[in-house]
Amino acid sequence: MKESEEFNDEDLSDILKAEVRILPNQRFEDQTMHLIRAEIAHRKAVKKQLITSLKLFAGALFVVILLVPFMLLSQTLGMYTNILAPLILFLTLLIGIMNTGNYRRLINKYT
Amino acid sequence: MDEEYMDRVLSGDTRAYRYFLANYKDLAFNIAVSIVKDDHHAEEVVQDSFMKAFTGLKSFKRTTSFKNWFYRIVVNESFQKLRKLKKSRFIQSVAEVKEAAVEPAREAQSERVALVFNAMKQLPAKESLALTLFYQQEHSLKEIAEITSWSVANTKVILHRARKNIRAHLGID
Repeated sequence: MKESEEFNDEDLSDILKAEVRILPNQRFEDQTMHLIRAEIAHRKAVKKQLITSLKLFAGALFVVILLVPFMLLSQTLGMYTNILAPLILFLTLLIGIMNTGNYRRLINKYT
Repeated sequence: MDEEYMDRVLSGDTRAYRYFLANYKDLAFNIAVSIVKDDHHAEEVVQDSFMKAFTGLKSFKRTTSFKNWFYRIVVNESFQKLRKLKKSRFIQSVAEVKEAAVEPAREAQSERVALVFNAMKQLPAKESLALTLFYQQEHSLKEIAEITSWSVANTKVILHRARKNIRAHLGID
């Protein structure tokens, strides 16, 4: 309190208080509430789409997980000689697992 | 009271946010006007600040009051707006247009209020903000430092300069 005493100025305080402004837009509250509701609806829609996308992504990942052992097995049996295909599948699997973290962050953001 | 309404908003009662709009919109508008010096842009700033506060309410730690936290958002948003306006060299033309629109309404008000309005407009943003927060809204130096992210010593320097300048503009001895 003492610190601000040096700035005590009744005249200036009265003058500035008389200059207090009121937001001119009478519909400001309604407009802002409308924007907030729109934002909530947008977030819900984004979250729904993200979850759908995550489900599809998880399905695709599951298929890849199922395919990798078959590919490796077929390769060892000499039925499938190309090494690139299982390698690509394995890398896809790794990238997929890493991406689930990004999904989690995005869903948290919109929740 | 703020705490109660914050809890209601966080539990999903969006309508409870109206309480904050009703209580803080005018004071926030005064802060924004003191920085951007234009009613239209100040209203935009206040609306953006309310949106930001709503989306950030979940992460608000409550180590300070809602009021100070919200005013800090308003101050940051206002300075951001001011930077954008300066960058686009829009501020001069807007000031001219707005001044023309505002003057007739101002005429009806007292000459002194118009004089204060114009004096505040001529002050640098930081100075008019310091005056608004200290003299108009009666915040302490510590609170001003908290809202603006300035140090208390810096707040004193700005306030001292602002007081000197506004008194000179208003012709107060």
